[in-house]
Amino acid sequence: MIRTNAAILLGSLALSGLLFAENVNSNDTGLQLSIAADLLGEVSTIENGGGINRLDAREAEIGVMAPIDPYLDGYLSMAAHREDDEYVFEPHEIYLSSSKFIPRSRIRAGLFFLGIGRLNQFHRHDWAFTSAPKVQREFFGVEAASDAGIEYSWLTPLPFYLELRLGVTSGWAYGHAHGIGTQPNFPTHYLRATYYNDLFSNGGIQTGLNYLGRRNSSGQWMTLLGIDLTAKWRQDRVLTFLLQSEFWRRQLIQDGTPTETTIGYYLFPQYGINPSMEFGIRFDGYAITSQQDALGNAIANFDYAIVPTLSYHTSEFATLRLSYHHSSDTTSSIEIGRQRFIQLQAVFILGAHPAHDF
Amino acid sequence: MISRFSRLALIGFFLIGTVTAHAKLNVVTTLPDLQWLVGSIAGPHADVESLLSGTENPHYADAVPRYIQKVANADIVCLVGLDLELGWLPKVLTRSGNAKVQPGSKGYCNTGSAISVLQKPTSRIDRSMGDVHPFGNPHYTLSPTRMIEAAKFITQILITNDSAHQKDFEGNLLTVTKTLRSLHETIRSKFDLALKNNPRPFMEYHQDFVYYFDDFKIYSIGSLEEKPGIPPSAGTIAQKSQLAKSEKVQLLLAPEGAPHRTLEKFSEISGVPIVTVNTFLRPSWGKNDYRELHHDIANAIIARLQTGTPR
Repeated sequence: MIRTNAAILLGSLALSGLLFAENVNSNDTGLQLSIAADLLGEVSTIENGGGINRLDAREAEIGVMAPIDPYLDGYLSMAAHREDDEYVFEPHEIYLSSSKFIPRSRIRAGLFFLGIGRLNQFHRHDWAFTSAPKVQREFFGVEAASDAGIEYSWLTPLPFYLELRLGVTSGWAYGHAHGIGTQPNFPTHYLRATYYNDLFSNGGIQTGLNYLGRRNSSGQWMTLLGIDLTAKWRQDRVLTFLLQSEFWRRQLIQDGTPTETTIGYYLFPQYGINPSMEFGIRFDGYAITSQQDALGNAIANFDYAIVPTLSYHTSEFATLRLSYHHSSDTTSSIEIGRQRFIQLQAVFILGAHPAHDF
Repeated sequence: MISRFSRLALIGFFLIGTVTAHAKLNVVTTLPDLQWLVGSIAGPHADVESLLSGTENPHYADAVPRYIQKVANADIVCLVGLDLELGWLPKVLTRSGNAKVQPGSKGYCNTGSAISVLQKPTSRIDRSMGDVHPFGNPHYTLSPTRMIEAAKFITQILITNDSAHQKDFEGNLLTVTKTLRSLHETIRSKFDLALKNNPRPFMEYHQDFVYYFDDFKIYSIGSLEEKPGIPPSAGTIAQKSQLAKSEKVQLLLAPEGAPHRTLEKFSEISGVPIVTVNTFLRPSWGKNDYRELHHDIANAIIARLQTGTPR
């Protein structure tokens, strides 16, 4: 992590990238450079409504990718984002990958976003909405959980699509962390099974089952179990319908005793009005199911959010997004917090055209 | 003893079947038109499957897991290239974990690298010009002459992967070439006859018909899109309508997925009739013959010309 002169560093890197951008896609190395910028403005509609009440450059990310040799590919992404009134410039992902060593397999090693869930596998500027739902923020971080390690994906030779994935990472830190953390008692490890099925003629539905475990340096076990679902239906240039959802359960265990159980989810249906415009509403829910008072009685608690979102694309490289964040946190039927703010986001991508995932 | 013999025979049949199955090439194409072409050359020596069904826009597909599964089992992947499938195919190839079909491998069949390309930019390009393809226009599959060039390239790839059937592939190539030449001549004669007394120009919505116009010597004054891939604004529609009027354009050709409201608006202002056609084969709709596709397109155009334009 570099906190000083981050903007200069980012600017220098971007400039040096642009200087050779003319040759980026045509040189003999296959080097591709992509720069994504994310601008965000927020205005609270009530007093202390949770918005930042200014326009901000939330993040700029530089991605560089190329084949290293006939067997390996390399990927590097560096991001500058604002945190505690300062821009933090840090590597997001640095990894080697290959799909050429073992048939039907993909291996990556290095620092990467952990290959579980849905949102966690995408950079924030590629999301269908502006900010992370609470379940993502609390269980993975404001963007994604990344760590250094190794991940192996195997596409089963079955008549339908089923991919199995196993990852092991150092586990010194977890989530969106800037420090190196401390040595865990058991490293972060995860499993994912992804199944896909066609849906009507031009659509499909992908389901993922996920497990993640880690035991930190003080002996606390964290286990995450989750299911994610993505359904898409595309007609020519229009993503006519998108349904994206994740449901997660987290359990913390200390010395063999469960200390906290939390569930969280979001559901985001989106309708494509035309090739340029989409409208969706996200419903979020989050509750600590194990919360108890001093007498051991369960304390009902539930946080919810409703986030209508309108996206406008001038092309596939630029998006303007307007959303309204309405959320409420309740404990024992009493509202203890509320957020009401409007978000205006602008995302643009310069350079190489990254291929779309499903 | 008989039972033991039967079991051995069964295992033997299974093994022979497996070996036979492996002996047959498994080819995946991105478009059904390439599926037709590869199938015509490979004959019984390959199973050929297309990723897209012909109803999608190949510019805007996703890396659908079903495609990844198909590519994982492929010996050869044939693509149009020229960046047509840039938005999704690289991800499909990478995630397939199939070393045989990665770029540079002997199963990677980029047909666009072998055709005579049109509209290759000669000066520096950037995205302010829209979706300009740096290697040239990729919509060559509607051109029988370019399909012949692609067929020759595909034959070489098939021979590289299965030299035992070289003679069959070369023989089939001759047949396909003859078929495509004959198709080219037939359709060209149709247009020569239809346009003899009415040589006014055509237009197109996107640049899907550039090779088609080139093959059949149809004069076009360009596309309704001012910049490729960018839907025309109200101002552009009005401007292009005036141009169409002054140039006495007799017809605008558009693929079926083109925005209907835009086309209607253009037709309303300019008085130019619109013909929308399938630009790709659609095997799931029973449209799996390349010759039939060409006859359908030509007949639709000629029928519209015969009903006369409002002018």
